[in-house]
Amino acid sequence: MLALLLLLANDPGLELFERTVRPMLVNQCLSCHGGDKIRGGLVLSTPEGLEKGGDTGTVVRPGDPSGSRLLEALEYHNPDFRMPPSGRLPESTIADVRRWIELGAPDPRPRGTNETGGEESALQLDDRLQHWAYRPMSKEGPPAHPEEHPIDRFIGHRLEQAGGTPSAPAKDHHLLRRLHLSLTGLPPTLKQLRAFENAPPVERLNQTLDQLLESPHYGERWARHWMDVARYADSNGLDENTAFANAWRWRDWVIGAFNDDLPYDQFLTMQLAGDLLPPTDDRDLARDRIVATGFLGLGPKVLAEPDKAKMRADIVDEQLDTIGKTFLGQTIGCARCHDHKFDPIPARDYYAMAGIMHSTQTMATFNTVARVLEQPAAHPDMLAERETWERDLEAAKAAIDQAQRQIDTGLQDQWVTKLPQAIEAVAAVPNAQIGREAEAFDRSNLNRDFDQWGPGIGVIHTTRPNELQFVEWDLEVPSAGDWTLAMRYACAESRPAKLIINGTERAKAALKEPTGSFYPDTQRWVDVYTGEWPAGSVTIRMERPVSFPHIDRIALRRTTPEQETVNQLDAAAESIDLPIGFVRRLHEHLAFTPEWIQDPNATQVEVEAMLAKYRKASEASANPDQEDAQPRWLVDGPFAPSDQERTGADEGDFEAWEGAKENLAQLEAKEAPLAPNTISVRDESEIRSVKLHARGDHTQLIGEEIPRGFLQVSDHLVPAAPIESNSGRLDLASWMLHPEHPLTSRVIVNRVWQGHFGVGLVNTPSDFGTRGGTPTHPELLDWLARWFIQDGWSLKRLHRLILTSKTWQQSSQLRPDMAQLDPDNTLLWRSNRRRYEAEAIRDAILTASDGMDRTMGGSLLNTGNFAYVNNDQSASNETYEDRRRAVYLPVIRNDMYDLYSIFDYPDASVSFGQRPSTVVSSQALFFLNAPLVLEEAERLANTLHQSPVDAALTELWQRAYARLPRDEERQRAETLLRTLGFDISPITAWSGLIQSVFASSEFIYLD
Amino acid sequence: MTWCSNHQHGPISRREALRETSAGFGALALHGLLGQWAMADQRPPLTGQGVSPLSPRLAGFTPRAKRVIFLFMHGGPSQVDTFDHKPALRRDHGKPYPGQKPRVQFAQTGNLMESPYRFAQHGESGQWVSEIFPEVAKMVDELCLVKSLHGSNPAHGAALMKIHTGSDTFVRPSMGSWITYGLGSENENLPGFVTICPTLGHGGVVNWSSAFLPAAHHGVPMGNAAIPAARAQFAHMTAGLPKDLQRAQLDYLQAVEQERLGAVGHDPQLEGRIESFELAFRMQSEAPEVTDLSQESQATFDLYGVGDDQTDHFGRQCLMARRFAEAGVRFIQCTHSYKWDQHGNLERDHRKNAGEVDRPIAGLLRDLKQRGMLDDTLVLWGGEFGRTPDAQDGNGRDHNPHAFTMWMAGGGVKPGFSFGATDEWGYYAQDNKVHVHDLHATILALLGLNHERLTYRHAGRDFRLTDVEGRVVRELFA
Repeated sequence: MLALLLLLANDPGLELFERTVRPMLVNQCLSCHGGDKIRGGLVLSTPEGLEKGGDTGTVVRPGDPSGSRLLEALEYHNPDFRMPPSGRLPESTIADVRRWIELGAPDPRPRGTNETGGEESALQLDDRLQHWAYRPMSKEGPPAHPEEHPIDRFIGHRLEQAGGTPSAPAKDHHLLRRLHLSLTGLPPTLKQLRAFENAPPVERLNQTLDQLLESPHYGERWARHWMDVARYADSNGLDENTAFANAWRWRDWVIGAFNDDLPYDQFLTMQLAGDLLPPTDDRDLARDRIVATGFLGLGPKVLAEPDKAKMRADIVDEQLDTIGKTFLGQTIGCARCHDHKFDPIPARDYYAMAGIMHSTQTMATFNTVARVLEQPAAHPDMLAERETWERDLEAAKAAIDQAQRQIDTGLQDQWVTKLPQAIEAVAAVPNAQIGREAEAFDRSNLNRDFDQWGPGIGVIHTTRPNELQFVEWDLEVPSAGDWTLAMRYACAESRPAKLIINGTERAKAALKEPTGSFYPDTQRWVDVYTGEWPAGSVTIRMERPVSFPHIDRIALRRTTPEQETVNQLDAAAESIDLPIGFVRRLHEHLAFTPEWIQDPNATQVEVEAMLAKYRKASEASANPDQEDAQPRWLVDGPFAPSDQERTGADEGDFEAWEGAKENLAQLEAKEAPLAPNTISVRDESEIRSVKLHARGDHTQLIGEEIPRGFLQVSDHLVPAAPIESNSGRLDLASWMLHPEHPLTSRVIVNRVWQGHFGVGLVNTPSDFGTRGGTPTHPELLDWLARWFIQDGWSLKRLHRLILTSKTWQQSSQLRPDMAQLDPDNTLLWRSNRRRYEAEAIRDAILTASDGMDRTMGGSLLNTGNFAYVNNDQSASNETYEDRRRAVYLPVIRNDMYDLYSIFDYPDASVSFGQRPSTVVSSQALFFLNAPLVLEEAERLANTLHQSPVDAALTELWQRAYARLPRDEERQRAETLLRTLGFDISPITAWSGLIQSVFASSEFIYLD
Repeated sequence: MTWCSNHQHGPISRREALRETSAGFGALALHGLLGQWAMADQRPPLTGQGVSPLSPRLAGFTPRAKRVIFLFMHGGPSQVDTFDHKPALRRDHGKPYPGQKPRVQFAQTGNLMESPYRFAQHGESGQWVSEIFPEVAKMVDELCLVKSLHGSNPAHGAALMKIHTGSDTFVRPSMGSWITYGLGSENENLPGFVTICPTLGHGGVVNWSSAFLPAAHHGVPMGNAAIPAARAQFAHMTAGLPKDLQRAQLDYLQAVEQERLGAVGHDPQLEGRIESFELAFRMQSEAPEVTDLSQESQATFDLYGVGDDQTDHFGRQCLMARRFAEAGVRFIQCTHSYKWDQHGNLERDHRKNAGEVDRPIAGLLRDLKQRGMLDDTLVLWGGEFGRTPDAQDGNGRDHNPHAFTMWMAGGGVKPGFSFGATDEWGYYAQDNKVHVHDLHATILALLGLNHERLTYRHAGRDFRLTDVEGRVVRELFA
């Protein structure tokens, strides 16, 4: 059976059918001769229909083109019988059809399907061996051929068969640039160029190769390729574009994994199921395993989706789509609504795999706006250590509180008995303070509220959170000197506001500390500004773009009380036998409420309020189990004893307090590290197998729950064991990594091949289905795939294998004879010329201008985690001026860095296996006018113009093209320099020339 | 066999096009299966070697419109307070909605609420228009109202993506991208798809992105919603050097590239690059001319409300849209950004919003008409969804994707016509329902494109603007 199928596949007639006839039928014929519409009784959607013909008889006579009416119609010779009616097909198509009929018109389409069942039937599981990607990987070695390198033997053999010859080796400077770009994504620096030139010619390529594989920039380059298939981004995109401020941890892990040459089988497993691997003592490894699962969580999600079941199903769908394309080259997503139209993937397989992802927790919450799950990136032991430490810390703080409470309660009990007396005494002391209720403002767009906060208490707060909020008070400063501005406020969260005094900004983030609630019981005074003030009127302004803290009162007091005041207070303290400090604090506290002091009733209110608070605090101290046991007021305001005053307490109490403080200091000194959060997944607590969704609709479930499982397409090679425990992600990884799995290894070696040649052996790297490309060199693909597994899944060794081949090292020069034979270079008779990707263009400019910062790792995102990167009217805060490699710049979905979108990286929302390479005028505009280009050209000009023109041109050519300029190039460049005003403004002229060099194709293409 | 070599090598040379075609499938995927008519020999002559992807292409059948101006009202204007007059709401004001509310609601709503505005019949067609659109009401005989639109998602982000791209779940090419992909641009010195002051939230770029279509079909934003239209600009259009010096740079570059091309042999990408620099240079001169409103008369400014604080922002957008339309841009979008979301304060704010767009819209319609451009320009007005007839917060309405009104004008639609109807209270589209997919199919058809054939092969599948749905609403055709 297998042999027969292989034989068929080598049948040229069959090949013609697949290449030309099938597409022609689908695109030109079936709209009238298949499906719902059948014109002239002719059904072309099935092999039976094609054989039978239409109302006027047969249309194809195998072996007899001139007797076949299909060909007659296509040829358009008969004016009454022309098909398709829209216009004659190209000659080559017609020629192919003629040849196909000559070869017996073989039609491999499955028979016995419903005549009107659809335009083209899917490849069924039973027939999967018809498609190359589901066949076993061949075990054949390289063919007999004079070349030594296995790759050259495969390529050379095929080329020879086709009557072609390989190209000569590329020039050394081309190879140098290729090696650098392919492996590190950076062009050679001047230093690297000189080292290359000075090395012995026979060794220099291998030497460079060795060095570059060890370069940390290798990981950055290949991580970037992987980020494409993993649809990496630093923001969610779609409807609610919130930041993924921890996504970079996954990116940095990928960079490290490539640099460490983490074997691909582990690389894959960690991303799908790192959290499910057996425990390890290696703390870094344990951390990496969690970080790696970020792969599953990085996708874009509709975060405000009101239908939560739909959101869940869509997230799973996105994950399956990405997993399928990335690791298997399969468009699994197509089977969400129905059996795959073309590939042997029944909807049942989709929902078997969906069960695995439904049993995996990806989201922290589905509430609007939903959030992706983050977990600490750390070994469990580390988390336990931190937890213990935090517990100890809390206990130590509680011990201090306890000891301090012991002291303070004693002191405060003494003071409180004399409080009315003290207030009376203090009220008699004059003060130079100015107080104002916050709501008695002069100008503001805030709201006054007297209803919610208790008798006599008003605050200002926000009612229109979308406008800039502000409040202004005009005060009279009685005399020039040092004054301190204080405010009393409450706020449950940090709401820093800008303080502006007489038009000068005095604080960026006043009142930024949360007090514990929005309510008066947590109100506290804070000094917001101390300085020298002139006498006279002053305007105090607070502003904040969004909601305000609840300000209750403001006050201005002398920074240092006047001596007379101090004397009077000290005398009062002595007469009623209270500590001086307490009395001064009481004065200060009440001084902020001058109108109350002048009003005996108000004073009484304040005394009662203070006593009430004191009682509450005492009760709380006595019942520490009570919910609001925190005796906040005891440690705030005038009743908080100073350390000095505490020395007057009982000696034993004092020592206990000192000891507790020492204990805390020791504990703080040995802080257990806090694990950062990272986007990651874990298993759900319960397994959720799912039912088939009719037409992908989550509200229409049919049949029984489908047991979790994998695609059946490889069942003939990889026996699938049932999933018993956990979500099944680890089983999924193991299934993919079975040495006979027909897809996993083929897919990754093809990606690597594409990275070095520009085009893969299969030109659809993420679609190995029947609609994808077929391998140009199937035997080589299979040999590489098996070699890669046997060699231990090492990517670096795979690079070395490919890059040491003569095939890779060929020139890219066009040879007209070979171009005639094989215009697409599918035989690889030369190297493909190709443009750098967006990131490489930027990095090349920065390398050439010496403007690059080679620091690795970390985040350059400006937006806080889960904050909006941008919303309906605000542009993002992200900037792209940083001089580090492009791989570290933020990747913002919905708002990509313009350089990226201009050079074919427009979207980071879906897994993509290859970057297009378009040529559009916005790219030209970029080179003509973008600040990056202009600035870097000027940076280099500033260096170059200092050298003689000859030497400077040499350097420019070496930096940009890794070679020397030819004489005519020098002349042309000098002419441009003169036209651009070299004599008047050499830097401008040089900048203009350098800019043109950056814009030239040689700079951004690999030859 | 290269079934899926879509756009890996940029603009194609004629030779390449023919070769791809000879491979049977490639050319079809490459050029978008514009129908049976997209054969190589029917395409316009391809000039030079590097053909711009924006070269105009032939449409499938007689196009009624050549271009689209989409006036997008972000936030969701209320149909029952603008164009869908519902007397029953007055009668049943304060009563519960007697029907079944949707399974998925954005938020809780209360009882039915009458419109705070008066409606009157206008024009010869006698269509009802709310008092907040007095100027548009005068143009009602030009409008083709569709009162039975419905979509699928009650959240802004998803609904925006749906109305712009046909998908509320995935990143897909936007309507403007599909249209320029299908038809190219009439002016190679300008982008085919321009979006003026677009919103950055609720999908942002997704709403004007070409997704997997070639990058040349990406919408080109002019400013964004955070910038007043008076300051909106294209990126990278300010020349780095004076024009004559830039010309010298280009001449240098052309010499370098020609020499290199001679050395390395035929290479369509390198050839395309040479052309792209010349195009950029021309664009740099032409775009500022098109976007420079100073050449317009005071009468025109008055017509659009430019210079009046209330209408300046949207007036400029509409005037700019007319200038782009004249210059041959295929798809132009103006956005009245995220203002129409009245969960509360409906009476005040819907009136204010309408006041900002009423004169500019009427001005645009009058101007297009007097210039004879309304016949082949399709003007589309509407938001991402409608609003509930029942109240929220006393004086507001919630999101409602189950019924909303959009209108079209010009471009081959019936003038002074109304199509479809909602239920008595305007909660659900009821008669002659038009889904967003149907709207898309209809717009494409008006431009001469068959929505089932305007496809693009990506990730193993042929994608369409209308996914697997869409009905062309021929009843709207003039």
